[in-house]
Amino acid sequence: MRKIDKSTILSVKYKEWVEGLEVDNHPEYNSSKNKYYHDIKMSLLYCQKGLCAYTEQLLCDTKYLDQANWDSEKYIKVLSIEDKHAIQGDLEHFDESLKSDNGWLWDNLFVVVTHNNCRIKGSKSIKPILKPDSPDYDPYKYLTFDSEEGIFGANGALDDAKREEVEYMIKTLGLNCIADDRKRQIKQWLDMKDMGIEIDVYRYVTAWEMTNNLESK
Amino acid sequence: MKVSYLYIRNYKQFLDLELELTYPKGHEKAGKPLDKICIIGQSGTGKTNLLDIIKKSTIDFSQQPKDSYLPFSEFVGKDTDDRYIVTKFQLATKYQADTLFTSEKSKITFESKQNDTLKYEVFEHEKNYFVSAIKIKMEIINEDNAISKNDKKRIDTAQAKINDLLLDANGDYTQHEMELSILSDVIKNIEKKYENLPIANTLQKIQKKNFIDRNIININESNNSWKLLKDNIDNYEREKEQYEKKLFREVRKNPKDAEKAVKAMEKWEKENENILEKIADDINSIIKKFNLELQIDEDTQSYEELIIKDLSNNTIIEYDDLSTGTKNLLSTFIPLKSYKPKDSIILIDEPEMSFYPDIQRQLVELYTTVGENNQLVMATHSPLIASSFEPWEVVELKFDKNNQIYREKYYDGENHIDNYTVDPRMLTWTGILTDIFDIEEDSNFTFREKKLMEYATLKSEIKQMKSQEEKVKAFEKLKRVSKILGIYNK
Repeated sequence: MRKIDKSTILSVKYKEWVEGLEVDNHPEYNSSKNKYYHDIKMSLLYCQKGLCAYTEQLLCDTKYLDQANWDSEKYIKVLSIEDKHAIQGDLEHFDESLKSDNGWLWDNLFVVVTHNNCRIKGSKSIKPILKPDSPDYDPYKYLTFDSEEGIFGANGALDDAKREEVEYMIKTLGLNCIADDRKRQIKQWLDMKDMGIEIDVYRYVTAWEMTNNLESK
Repeated sequence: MKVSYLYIRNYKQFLDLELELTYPKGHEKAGKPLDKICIIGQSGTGKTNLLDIIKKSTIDFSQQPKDSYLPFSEFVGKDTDDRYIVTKFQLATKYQADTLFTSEKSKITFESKQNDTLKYEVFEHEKNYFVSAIKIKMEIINEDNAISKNDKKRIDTAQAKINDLLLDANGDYTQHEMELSILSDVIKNIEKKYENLPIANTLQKIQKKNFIDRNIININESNNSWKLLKDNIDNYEREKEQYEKKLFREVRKNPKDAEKAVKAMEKWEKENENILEKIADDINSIIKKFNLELQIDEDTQSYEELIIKDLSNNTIIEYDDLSTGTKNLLSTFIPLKSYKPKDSIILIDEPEMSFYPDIQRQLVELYTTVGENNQLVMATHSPLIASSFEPWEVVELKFDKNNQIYREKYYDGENHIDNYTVDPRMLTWTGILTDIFDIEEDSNFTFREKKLMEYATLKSEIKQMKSQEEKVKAFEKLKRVSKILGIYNK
């Protein structure tokens, strides 16, 4: 799970709307009915570089995330049915307890792979220690990656209390739910590296960086 | 009731087998009987025979002629003193029941765990044997949903009195003989009353067939539990309709009696249980896994007929057209779920039969949630099922070099949780096959080895290539090989 910079909100209209909301008049969260749903999703995907915020699975081609797809107010690219199918993922509330009264809060939203949203995280409570856009979050500080098993664990340098929190969050966010797929992908890239073939790391970026002990950018 | 110990001496293929079936030291339930047991071992090691021994040891003396309950006749060897089976059961009450079986006698001993001075020995040939027999019977058939609260209370009271008398007798039962006999008759009569109810009777038959008498179900048999249940439900509807018609005829004759008829109908509905309503949720929770659900009547929002809907295309599907796995699961769970066993031992041979691996994975959880405080004993060949068990819950039977059967030890030194070196919950499915089921190779190696060598050679070939273009082209071939081997993603 890499660090995500959410400071740019390309869907300006949504930004103005959400910032203008009072505490009392925050509308109920109903994903299918809100006119900003799609805008929020595309804006978040832009920040997440097309990857699931937690597992770093690929959710869409970066061609949908070109800045030219936005005008000064919103996402304007017209999407066909095929396009819509090609852009995967759901809006996810990091802290589920904020969903009822502050469901549209930018700070609390991410786009994640549907399986993770529905089957793994659901409405489980969270500990803020692993929040991808938090200023304190750094995958190298909190996580370790074992490429042979494709597994993320808590960094061995952490004290017991922190380790427990990190492990709880790894489970809750489902960071290891695709361990086998990630293991095989890393194996393929390691083979390619070994054979001197150029690699396009289009997903599992953090896992690959940690495998190669590269510094996070 | 849970089995906590088994010792078999010279019976069938077991010459000398001792099984401690309690949680080891260091476990939060240390010393208590195992909640679930997984028996594994290659064919011939006696998995099914073990289930059979447990079943036969839970003797129901009250149903047997006094001197004839000798369940184990297949002892081997000549020395009669050296041919026996000892079983210990932990009862839900404070008692422990020890049974001893030889080819000539059956003996049961009750021991109170709370007071060491209390000790009851009841021999089969003794007059008072039925007292203990009822005790066991009540443990097995405890929570019968068909029994009314009032009758349940009467049984409990009678049972409590029996217990008091037992305590008072302190081994000498003759002084209470008459009273004990009357009390046991009270219980028997109440039970008899329910045996004759058509619905309860059929359900009990299903329960006995599938649950108590071990779970061997031929799903293609015409009297399988689904059909029995369907007949019951149809019967219910038919009887209801007939009664309604009868009442209506009376109202036509005397319209003033309309209110009376409504009350009479309500009374009938109260007395005659709609089984389908009662178990619809349970059936639904199971068949949802197969993308099916029971059809609900749109008008009444109740389940009136046993009709299954295929959720993929919203059409009705006949029972006979269901997959073998669905049928198998339904015919096992309907009786179990409707019975809601409590404090009972559930024995299941090859639970994985005809189930897709995905369902196999869920079976143990499904079976452990059918009732309350039961002991689940499974004999299986499935690594997916074995993976749900704690290491001390696995009984792996093996042949030693003299072809004698023994239980494989999973720990070094003392039997303490920290000393276990194998844990099926921590292994991959392949790991379970190699480390627990003792499969020597982790694949069909004759074929895989050839492909693996191709993979290694191709890799070294690409390494030595100079141009990127050439490498990328050759890599496409390597990718195909790697995908077939499961090294890269498909």
